[in-house]
Amino acid sequence: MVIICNGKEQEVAEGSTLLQLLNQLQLAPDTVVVECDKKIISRDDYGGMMLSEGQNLELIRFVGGG
Amino acid sequence: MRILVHERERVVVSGTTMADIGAEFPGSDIFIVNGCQVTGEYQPQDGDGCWCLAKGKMVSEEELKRLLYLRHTPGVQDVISRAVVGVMGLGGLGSVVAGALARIGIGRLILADYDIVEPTNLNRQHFFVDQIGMKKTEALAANLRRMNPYVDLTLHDCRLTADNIPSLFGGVDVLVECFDDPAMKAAAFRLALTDMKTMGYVGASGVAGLADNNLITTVCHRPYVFIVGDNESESKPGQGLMAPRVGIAAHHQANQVLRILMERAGQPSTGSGPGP
Repeated sequence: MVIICNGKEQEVAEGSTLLQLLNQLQLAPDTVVVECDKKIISRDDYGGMMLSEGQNLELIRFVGGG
Repeated sequence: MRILVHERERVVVSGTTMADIGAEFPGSDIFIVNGCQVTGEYQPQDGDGCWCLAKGKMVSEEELKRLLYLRHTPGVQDVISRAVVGVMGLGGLGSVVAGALARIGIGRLILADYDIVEPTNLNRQHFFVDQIGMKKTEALAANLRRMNPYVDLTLHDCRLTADNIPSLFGGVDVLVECFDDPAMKAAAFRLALTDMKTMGYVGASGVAGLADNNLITTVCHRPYVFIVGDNESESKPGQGLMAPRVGIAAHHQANQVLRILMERAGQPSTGSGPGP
């Protein structure tokens, strides 16, 4: 199925969770803030959140250093 | 015409120079008119605010505060002096952000870090060799007080978590995220978008190495919520953190704090920008 990720179409396997998407994109889940349909997703919910066709995700990824 | 000399109104004849006025203040050799340094030949105009100071002479709290008002203009300094700003993490970003804000006379700084000063910090962080081994909170407080003895500081020598950030920084006007750890950067940003929506927020991501200066940007994510950096340059072997580029990002953060404070006080700063 296809979801919209940071404005671009992204192919993910049917029944994927948000956590699986982040792994697929090789992003460390703890370093990413996720907004789904204008709602900020709690880090605790990444593993349980099932993705659905056409869902609109914004991923904001942080890199280390300061 | 009427001018203000050290905040007191007086009448002088047209053509009076700053050197003429300075004659009343023995040893004075620095002349400031409306926040800007001028020469002794400068002739103040009607309504100008004038100060005569002696170079190298110690200033009192009252004088230092007045100088900040003069330098920054009263409208700006009133906002700065009332502001409470939190700084999370006192490394290459946080120690520099705190320095910039202390220098301009911010009302109160709440500073948090759990670590001590280490030799590897000194390539970019505002600590000194003789402070190695000190708590960062205490070392930075000492340094900030040397920059501005009258800055009001609250120190938290503890490890910040998503659980304790709201209580430690609940009342701030702007919270500045200066963590090293990307997971804490994300956790703090998540808080700023959910539980701590009422404050301003300036985070950072991508400040390492020596890539192009101009790749460092200040991006608005929500009203009064910004992220500074290039979003790419992570600290890693072969791409360390160095004073110049981290300093660029830190000063982006400090200036954005100022812009948020002014915007929220109903006095938006001039010049284009990424929005409120």
